[in-house]
Amino acid sequence: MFDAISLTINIGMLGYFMFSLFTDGLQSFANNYIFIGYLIFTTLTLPNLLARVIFKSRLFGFVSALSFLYFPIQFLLQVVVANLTGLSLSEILPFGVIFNLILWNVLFLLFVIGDNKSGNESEFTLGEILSGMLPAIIYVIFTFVLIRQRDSVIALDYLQHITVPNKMFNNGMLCLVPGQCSNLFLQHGYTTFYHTILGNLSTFLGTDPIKSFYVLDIVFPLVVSIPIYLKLKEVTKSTIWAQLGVLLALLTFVMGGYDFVFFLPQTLTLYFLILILREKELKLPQLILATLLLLPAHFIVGPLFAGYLWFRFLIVKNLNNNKEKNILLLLLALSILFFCLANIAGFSVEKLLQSDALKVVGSATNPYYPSNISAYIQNLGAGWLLVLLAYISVLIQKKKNKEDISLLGFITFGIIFYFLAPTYAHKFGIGLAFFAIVLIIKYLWQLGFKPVMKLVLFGLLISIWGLNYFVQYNKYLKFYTQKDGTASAIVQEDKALIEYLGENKLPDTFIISDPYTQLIVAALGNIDTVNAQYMPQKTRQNFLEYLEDPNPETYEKLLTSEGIPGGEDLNILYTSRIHRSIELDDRAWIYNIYSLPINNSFSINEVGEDLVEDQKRLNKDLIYISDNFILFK
Amino acid sequence: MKTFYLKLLTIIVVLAGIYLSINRYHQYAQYKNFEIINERQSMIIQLPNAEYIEIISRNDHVTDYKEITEKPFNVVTNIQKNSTLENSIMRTDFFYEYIENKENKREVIITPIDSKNIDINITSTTAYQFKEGLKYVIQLDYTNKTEFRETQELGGVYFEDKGCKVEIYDPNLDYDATENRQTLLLKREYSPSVEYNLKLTISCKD
Repeated sequence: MFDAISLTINIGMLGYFMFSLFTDGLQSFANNYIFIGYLIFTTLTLPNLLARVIFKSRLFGFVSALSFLYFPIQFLLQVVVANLTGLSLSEILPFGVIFNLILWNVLFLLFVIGDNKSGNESEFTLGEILSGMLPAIIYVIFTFVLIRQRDSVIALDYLQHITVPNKMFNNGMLCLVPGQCSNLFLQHGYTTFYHTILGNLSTFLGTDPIKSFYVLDIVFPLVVSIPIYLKLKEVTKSTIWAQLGVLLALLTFVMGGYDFVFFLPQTLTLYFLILILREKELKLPQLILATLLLLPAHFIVGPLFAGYLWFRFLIVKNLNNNKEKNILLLLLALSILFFCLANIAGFSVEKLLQSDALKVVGSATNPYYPSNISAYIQNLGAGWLLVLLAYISVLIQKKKNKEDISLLGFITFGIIFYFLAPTYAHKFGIGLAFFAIVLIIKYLWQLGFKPVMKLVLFGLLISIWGLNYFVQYNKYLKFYTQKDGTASAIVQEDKALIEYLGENKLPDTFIISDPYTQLIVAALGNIDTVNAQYMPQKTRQNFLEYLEDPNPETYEKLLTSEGIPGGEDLNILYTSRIHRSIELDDRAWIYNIYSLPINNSFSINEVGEDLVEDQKRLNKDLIYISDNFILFK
Repeated sequence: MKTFYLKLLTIIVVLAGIYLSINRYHQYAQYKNFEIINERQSMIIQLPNAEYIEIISRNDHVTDYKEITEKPFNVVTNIQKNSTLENSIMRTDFFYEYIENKENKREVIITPIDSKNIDINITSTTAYQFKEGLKYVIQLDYTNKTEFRETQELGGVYFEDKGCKVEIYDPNLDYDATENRQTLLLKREYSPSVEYNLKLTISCKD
């Protein structure tokens, strides 16, 4: 039955696409939500089919995590083809995406039909997959009906990351780390592994990037729900407990970590870890391969996850008796206490060792006691009480399970790193949504509640998580909520600029503007800017100084500022954000790189005569793009 | 038996969890008698009567009421506010402003407690030569003319306007109002580090 359902859905989709092709033409696919969703789903699950059909491994497991290497390998092959044929990457890359769509369909057919000859494994697997996705569908409805607005993009990270596939596609660039392709990455946090996948999802086929990001936030949790479900099913042997676990995991909004909320390098790395953990026990060669996969995916959480796998392999696996397990459990608890107290006493890595990084940002990147404790608690909310109960339960168990200790170990590592407070320590909350939920579900399942009680308990747990998630998500949206109530990084007034940049290609143009507009220009116009949202503080100050007092001297000072490359034709994009800053003397944005005014509706009644004159001196004319944008070119 | 107690404990914990979650949601969703706007070089407490109270660093002054009147934050060399992206990511529940004018530093933390009450903490570090009678003064500017009166409770001043009553409690209350009846001046004996811990209670008719 599940085979038939899956095949019917897929054939239905393909039929719909054929129909759309003949009625609306090829161009319509760029804005078609169903096609974008299909593209994202097939791209994210292609490695699973590769693992199952080609490598004869599990659909969701260690090999499927490794199979994600398909995307960078495919990209490299396309670069080779481009070099051999003399074609540009923008001509070749779309064929790669189409090839992947066809490959997915072939592999899917082979999975379903080929499998039927030797029993009915695919029927069972697809049944399990649909069971796992059911709570994710409920989650998607909850989130996208009650919280998110249509076509909202609520992570500036997406805009930053898309500049890399943009450069690959439009400029034919090949880069190992994103900073080699785009000047928006001040530090090397990952390789371009993630960006080759993102390119397939949002850039290489020319789909609308804004719609792609929106749909990605819907499809990513649907895909991730499957291995979470399978892990929980393995632990509890119960479908309903596993489904509850999936729902609770997705309803955990980890601030900074964003476990299953956004598709980012760090969450992709977490997805890899979850796939890897489907293997009950990793052998040494597998562990080495897993480490080699996790490290390039993210240079901070990758080592954390790899370290965790080695902790399981070297320590937890070798715990032989209850005494050793008890000692480890107590050590974990003491570590939390120690690092928490050290933090309360004022210890912080960012303050002690990372003062240079703080100078770049303009302020501390972490909240401090008591705000940091409150912020961390809010990630799970009242769920922490159940984590505590689960810990006590493990502690008093006569026969302790190594899996429980591993789960507690991960949570402990996250807390320790958080309280050590290196820059952006909130990222170490990542994984909480998975590890805490597996621990809690396992604990509750073991208690063996009667059906009625179980039903009540499910209702209460969903309410606890649902309420906390709703508050966390909405608080997160605060920055993205514009004056007109729209909650998105894409501002209505900015659409005129996006349209202008789409219609008027500006090759060899280097734009300087306010940091937020620069991000929009770089992400959606593929035009170089002064490090976009990460425009250095001093450059911001020099830019504002020039705008307020335009003369050869202040212009020269601006030209020699950090982030402005010599020899480039510098074009000023005057915006409502800048105008408001000058008119209302609002200058916080020049002292902190995260101080980004999102609203762009302040009317530009008049641009200073001095500025117009000085720009004329530089042979720049005014181009009125809209009421909110004036380009000097 | 152990399982029974664990089950019981679990039920109690889950019920406590429900209470805490509803409480958190209620705190988030409840209608508040104020909105904090943390922009430019001031902190604004917007009231439902369309008026607002503004605390502007530029208005802080050091005075002996005779010869000296200095404004330590008339010029600003650094401003930090947590009202934008940073606040969304770091998830702090208070509003923060840090102003610097070379060696002079001023930090404001506004923490909404519930729908009516707000804690305001202002710490100002300045470097002026000590003089007898020298005062550090901050201003709470209201957008309308009003009468500032003392509350029955010690250390409190209040005013009423357009259906809203605003009570300001300062444990070391030493205040004055300006002639235009729009500004409350809160004074401290001058010292290099001056701290204010104010409590505001805002009650408005529905």
